[in-house]
Amino acid sequence: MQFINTLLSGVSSGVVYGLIALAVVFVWRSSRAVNFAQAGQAMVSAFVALSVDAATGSWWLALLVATIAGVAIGALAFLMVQRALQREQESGALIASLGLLAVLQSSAAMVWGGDIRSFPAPVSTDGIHLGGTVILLSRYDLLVIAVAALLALALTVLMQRTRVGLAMRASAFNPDVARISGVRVSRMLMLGWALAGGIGAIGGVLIAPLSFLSPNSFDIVIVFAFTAAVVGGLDSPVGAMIGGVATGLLLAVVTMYSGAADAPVAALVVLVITLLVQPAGLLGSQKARRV
Amino acid sequence: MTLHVRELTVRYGAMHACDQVSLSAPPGRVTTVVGANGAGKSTLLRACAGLVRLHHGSVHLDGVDLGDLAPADRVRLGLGFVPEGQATIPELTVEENLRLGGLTRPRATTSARTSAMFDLFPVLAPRRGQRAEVLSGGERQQLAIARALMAEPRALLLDEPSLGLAPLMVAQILDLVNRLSRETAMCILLVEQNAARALSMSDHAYVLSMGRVVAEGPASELAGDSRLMHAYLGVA
Repeated sequence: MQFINTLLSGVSSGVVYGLIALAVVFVWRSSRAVNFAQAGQAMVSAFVALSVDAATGSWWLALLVATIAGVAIGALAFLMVQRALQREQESGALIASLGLLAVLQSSAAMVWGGDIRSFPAPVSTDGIHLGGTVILLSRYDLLVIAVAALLALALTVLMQRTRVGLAMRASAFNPDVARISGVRVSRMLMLGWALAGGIGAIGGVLIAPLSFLSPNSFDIVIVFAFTAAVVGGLDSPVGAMIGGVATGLLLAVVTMYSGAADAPVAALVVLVITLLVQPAGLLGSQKARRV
Repeated sequence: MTLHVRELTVRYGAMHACDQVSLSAPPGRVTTVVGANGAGKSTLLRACAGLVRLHHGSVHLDGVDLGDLAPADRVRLGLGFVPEGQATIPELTVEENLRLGGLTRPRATTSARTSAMFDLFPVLAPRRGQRAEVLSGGERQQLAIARALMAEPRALLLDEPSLGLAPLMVAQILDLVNRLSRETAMCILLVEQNAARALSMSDHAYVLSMGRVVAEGPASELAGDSRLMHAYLGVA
């Protein structure tokens, strides 16, 4: 029972790592760039949610406003790295994203202060009583899983069933053929970054009640999310979600049996092993990059 | 609808890939540009499509200066482009490749035009749900042309549609190009390395060498000029 509870306690945070990984994958697929500011964008979005929740008392309104803010920040992030992307300077885009992370973290500290804040949850985060035992899966965990599942479904429909989704996929696979088919590719890239910002924002708001919120509190989340994305194959949305849940479960087990301090190390070990053994990840379609 | 190219010049560094190229492609005709490898034929088409910047000159479609328009905007003005190398997106299905080509047209017309393409290219119909990567070279070339036709272009640029295909398939594709120009009054600008074959099915032709137009005239006359064919096209 204890082991099952340990696993259950990892599911909802794993789902959130999956969402942030999904954001990383959206950016990677659209522009072959890794956005290290992704978790920073999610952090600022979560602070926006905290302010809206404090002002209105509505957690759901806070989630909505934070998502819109996340979309806007994502679009701005794209404008920052656009020049580097157009010149096909991968390292330029990477450095620009690190710069953006620093800007976001210091801005958040200026606006909301550097203190660690607790973040309210709309429903109980206590385990559910079932028979005589307590199951370490709270109503809030169930809500996290439901929101993430709905979001994943909506994104799948958007990408697979709509014209704009087709244009985005074409831009990611072959920008030149997309262009001569009439697709405005840079707009599609911006949309990809904006969507990633929105997905990350939802992930940020969802995970905040499970931990705490400070300008640096998501630093470790990007490590977990990046691990999830790489395990899943970096260009596979389904792989990102699977990788996220797997990472969440692994971290829960490591935290339980070895200590919370070892969790980041465990994630990095998994990251390194994946890159050594199966660089394309579980569901990645691309061939491994040789360096 | 006529495609007019005036003094088109493209430089890669110090090299002139295209040097003061002028030509026009009238509607309902196949206009061919022939020339040896590296003569600047592909650059000419890529510049018309907006994928390469001009250093000098202009491209007009039916009197509209395409100037600095992005490739996507040229598609909206009726310019279709089939680049060399069976330009499809292998990760997308056959039907998705077609729908991609039709994105600039009203949504309501997509399925009718998709069916029309399956009538025109029957070999693609049973493959509609399969990824383009499983198609043969000839099938993929047909899909690339169909993708461009989905946008209902009034001018079509075709870059080496016969490259890498079996002779029977080459004949089929060039025959189709010929038919399209007659039946749709589209202007077709065809680039081919296979000079004899291309000249045999086109109306007017230009010979490109080292980025310059060195000869032009009715295709049949050029094909009959053995000195020209020998000097610029390596045909004995």
